[in-house]
Amino acid sequence: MLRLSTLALALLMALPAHADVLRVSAIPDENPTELQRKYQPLAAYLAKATGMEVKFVPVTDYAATVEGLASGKLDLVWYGGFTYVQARRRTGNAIPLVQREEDARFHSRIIVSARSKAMSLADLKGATFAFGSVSSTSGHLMPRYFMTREGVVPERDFSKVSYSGAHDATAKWVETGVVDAGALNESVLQRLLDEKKVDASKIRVLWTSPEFFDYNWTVRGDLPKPLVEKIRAAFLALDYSNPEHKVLLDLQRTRKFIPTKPDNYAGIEEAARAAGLIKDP
Amino acid sequence: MKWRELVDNRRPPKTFGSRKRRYQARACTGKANFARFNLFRDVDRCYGDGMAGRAPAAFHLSGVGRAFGERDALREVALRVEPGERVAIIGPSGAGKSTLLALLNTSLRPTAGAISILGQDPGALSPSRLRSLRSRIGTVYQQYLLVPQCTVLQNVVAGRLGRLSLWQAAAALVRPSETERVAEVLAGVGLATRIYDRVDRLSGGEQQRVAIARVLYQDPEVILADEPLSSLDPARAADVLSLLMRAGARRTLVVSTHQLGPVLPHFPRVVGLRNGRVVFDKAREAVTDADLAHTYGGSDGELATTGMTLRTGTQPTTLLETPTGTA
Amino acid sequence: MSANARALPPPAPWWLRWPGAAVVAAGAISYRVCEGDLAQLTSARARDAVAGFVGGFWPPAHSTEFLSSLVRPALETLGIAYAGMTLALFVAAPLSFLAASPRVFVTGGDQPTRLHMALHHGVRALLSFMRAIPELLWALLFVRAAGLGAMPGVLAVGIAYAGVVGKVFAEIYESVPRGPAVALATAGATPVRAFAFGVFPQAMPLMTSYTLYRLDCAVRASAVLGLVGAGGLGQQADVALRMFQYDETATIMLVLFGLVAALDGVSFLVRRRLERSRGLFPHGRVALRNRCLAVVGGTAAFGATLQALDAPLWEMLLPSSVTHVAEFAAGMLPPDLGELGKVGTALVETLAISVFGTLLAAALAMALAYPASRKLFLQELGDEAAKRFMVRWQLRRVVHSVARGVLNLGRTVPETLWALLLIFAVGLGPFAGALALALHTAGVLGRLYAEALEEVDLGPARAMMNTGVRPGLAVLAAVLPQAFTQLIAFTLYRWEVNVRASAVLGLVGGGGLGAQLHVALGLFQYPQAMTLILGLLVLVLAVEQLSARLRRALGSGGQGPRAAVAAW
Repeated sequence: MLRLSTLALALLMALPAHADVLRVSAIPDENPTELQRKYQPLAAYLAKATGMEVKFVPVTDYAATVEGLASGKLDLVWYGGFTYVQARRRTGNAIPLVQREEDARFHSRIIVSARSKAMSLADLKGATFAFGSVSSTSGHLMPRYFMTREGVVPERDFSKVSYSGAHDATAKWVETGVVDAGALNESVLQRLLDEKKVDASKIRVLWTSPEFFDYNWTVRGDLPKPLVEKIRAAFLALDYSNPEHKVLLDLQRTRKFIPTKPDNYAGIEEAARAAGLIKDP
Repeated sequence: MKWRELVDNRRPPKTFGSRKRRYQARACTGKANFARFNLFRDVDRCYGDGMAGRAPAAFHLSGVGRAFGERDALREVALRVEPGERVAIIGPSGAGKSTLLALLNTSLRPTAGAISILGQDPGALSPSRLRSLRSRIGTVYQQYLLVPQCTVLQNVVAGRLGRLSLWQAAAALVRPSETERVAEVLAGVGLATRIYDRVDRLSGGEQQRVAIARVLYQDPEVILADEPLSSLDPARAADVLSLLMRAGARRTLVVSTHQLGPVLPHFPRVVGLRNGRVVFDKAREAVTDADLAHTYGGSDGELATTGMTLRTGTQPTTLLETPTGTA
Repeated sequence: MSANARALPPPAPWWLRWPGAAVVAAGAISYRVCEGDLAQLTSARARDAVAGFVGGFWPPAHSTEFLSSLVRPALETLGIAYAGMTLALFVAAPLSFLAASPRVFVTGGDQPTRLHMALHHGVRALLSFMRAIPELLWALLFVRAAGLGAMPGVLAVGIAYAGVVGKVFAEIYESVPRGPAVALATAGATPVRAFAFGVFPQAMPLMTSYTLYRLDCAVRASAVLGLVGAGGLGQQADVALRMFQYDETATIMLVLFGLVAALDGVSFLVRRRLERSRGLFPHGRVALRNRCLAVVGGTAAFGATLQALDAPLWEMLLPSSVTHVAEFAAGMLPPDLGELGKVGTALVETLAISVFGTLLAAALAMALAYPASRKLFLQELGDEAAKRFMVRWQLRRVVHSVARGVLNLGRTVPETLWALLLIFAVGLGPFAGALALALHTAGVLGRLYAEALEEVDLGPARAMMNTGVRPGLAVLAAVLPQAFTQLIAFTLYRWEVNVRASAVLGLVGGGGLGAQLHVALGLFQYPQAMTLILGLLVLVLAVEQLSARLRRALGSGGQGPRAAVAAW
């Protein structure tokens, strides 16, 4: 017995400490297999640029990415605007590095079934409604914020509010009539329609939100400065005319990355506060 | 490959046979070496010449009563059993025989009166002293109380748990020397080949013999047996009884029973219980039919129907004859 | 005589008398509360959805690429189950000794010490807490507190199952015959030694077979844990379902089914071996060596599994991890008591889901148990005459296979996945949750019911059939009454399990407490989440108490570890 426990203890001690690994993750606002496929080439590119081993860690819980960054288990994460705000509030020093050029003027859309008679937000009174994930910016926070500003309070005006968990699912729920209407991210909707995953004849866009800042790449605040700069430079160096880079950028559904800063997300933080999604202690 | 051979060389040559047969062989060779293990107790060791007078009574009860709630199972029992004595306790079901034995083996405490066991008052002992007292008393139960899923070996070794620590007991299961000793004991009860069998594969008679082996391995000064024969058919009962008598040779032996015919001839002293009271307590030769009738609460006619009279038992010998062929 | 009989007032119909009336009322109320609408099951949308499933499920996806992509998740699921179960055993085994009633250790009239009593109550409370929180919720919390990947899955299975396993082990110790231990104690053995040699060996076979059964459950559970990001097959199934790739869902379910069936086979072999085993302690050198090898091998496999899963459990013992978990836990305190009303509503809804789901499941299981029982339906009480009419006999066999298939399907698909499917048929909300619960539970209960029916004395039923009664009626009149209390006990145990399950269903859109919990956790409103968790804890413990009381009222058939082992 004693010998066994000694053995076990020795095994514990002999385990390798953390190697030089950059752990990359992303919020799961899309199909996780899709995410994995999307980030593999990027991981390879970053490995070359930083000289570190880059590991993509798939996560299926939005908030887990925030806790992962806070506990130092993740180094670089693709966040939505709202998750970035939460990460910043949780860690105090997370740094937003870059974003796609589209993310600086992003939109949410509300879709309804093609058969629906609703022509405006006000017509949705009494309907069943789906957001994406609770933590989603374009699938929950911003639509909720803008709808409230237009006088539609989800919990009051809809007969049922639910969370589908992801943009793809919201689209499917509306298409099949599980809910009457749903809010989702414009770029995912575009992709679903392009790839014919959603039947364009069965849904209709009812409303498009004003523009807002969304996704960005954020690093842990206590990462060494030179490494942070190396990562930022690597993203900014991506060039659409370079065929190698083009593959990578196409997967990210963009043409180029641009720098971003914390101030860009003050509006989102404000919106979250107004919508009651973050409460100051 | 090499070390394998080395190891094998140090072992006795392999026997190709069942484990049982292999074991038998070992048990035979072992016999000489382990003869010192005293299976049937040598009285001189404890109550040597001249000691008998000074040794404390095995049991001394005065005014002992035991109540379960409202019901009195035993009342005003006074009993003194000397070391080396053999006592049979008889009485109908519900007379309090089992309660009395439970008081004697300290698993019950009296609710009235004083009890002294091997010179000690169990109620006044610390838990560890109580346990060491208990390890000097062995009990054979009507329902055997063996662990059915375990091997005979394990059940027998468990008898010694009062003296062995848990680890010693566990080690005893694998140490060959200890196994030999258990085999010795089992050979004594005629179960040498069943040492590695699961107890629930044994017949009732065999199980009771394992229970006796457990007590023998415990090596107590006193053996109590609570209705040891009542779950057995007459032939098995006779076997078990003679084993019990050998086990109890030169130990104090107290047996409760209502099978008078086969049992009483072996016991010089008989105590009759009825409704929790001692009805009589005398030498076997002095027990009369009237005593029995009084104990069993009916006329002779009723006794005859239960087969428990003095002269119409299952055995032709009368109580008044000295038993032959057993010792 | 007939005059006397007429003078007695006839008894009221069962649904107006005490237990029946209560059940009917509970069913009706819970049906209302969980927004039940059975008509929806026949609506056009439900028909479309079912047609969509059936059309989509066949043929299951079988491209090499997809199949090979399932290998790793399948192994991951097995790994999480194995590692989680091992962890649960490490935690539960020591706790179970303290959780068992101190009387188990007290042989020969002494009183348990006050310290022992205090420890006993403490450990029992701890185990209750561990199992009151469903593993899916533990996983959600551990994903936050302990990081990503398979680790939260292992921890969740480990903690939640330790709570159950510890309790069941304790109940097993309490239930084995105490005679041998008392005999040893009377021969001077200390309580611990008497326990080790007198109680433990008797408990071992049941404990082992329970552990194996639990491993089975762990595989199913760890498949579901993927839903919250703990890896494994569940993640794949979730994705496939949300993306409407039914063919892939079907394949994943088949793989899961295969895994569980394979494990079932292995555990059958182990159990048969166990029946012939010769006790807890090794006998002889070879056995000692084999057992040591088994222990070392098992531990090494545990370590290797953790390594392969990239779940460094030992890192949980590092100060930094401990601090992080402590910080996380501290962040949940004090619970936010501001919205107790909302919590109350959610609790009522959760309770209603569990009640309606369990009742519906019991009805379904009752209907399927007889045809699903091979012994009753085809062998012992099979209609002898029917064998001569091939068509009727074949029909009987088909009915048997279908009943078995339905039960197996219900059992294999976890309730969370059923809920994901059902929301397309009956819409979002508690009713979908209740139906999902009912389908899964019917699978579990049907098997338990069938086993209970097979165990009773068939003599009366045979006697009845000899007078010309049909086998089905004979079962109803002569077999069912014998097993009835046992069936109710199973149902009550299952209800306890279902309260937890229905709290989780909300996480996937099935209504109840889970829905609110999902929002609170998603928005980092940990104090609110804590309030909900505490509410759940109260509900679970209250239901456990109620169920125990009802089972006691049922008498002997309602208790004992066999019922608990079978149903938990």
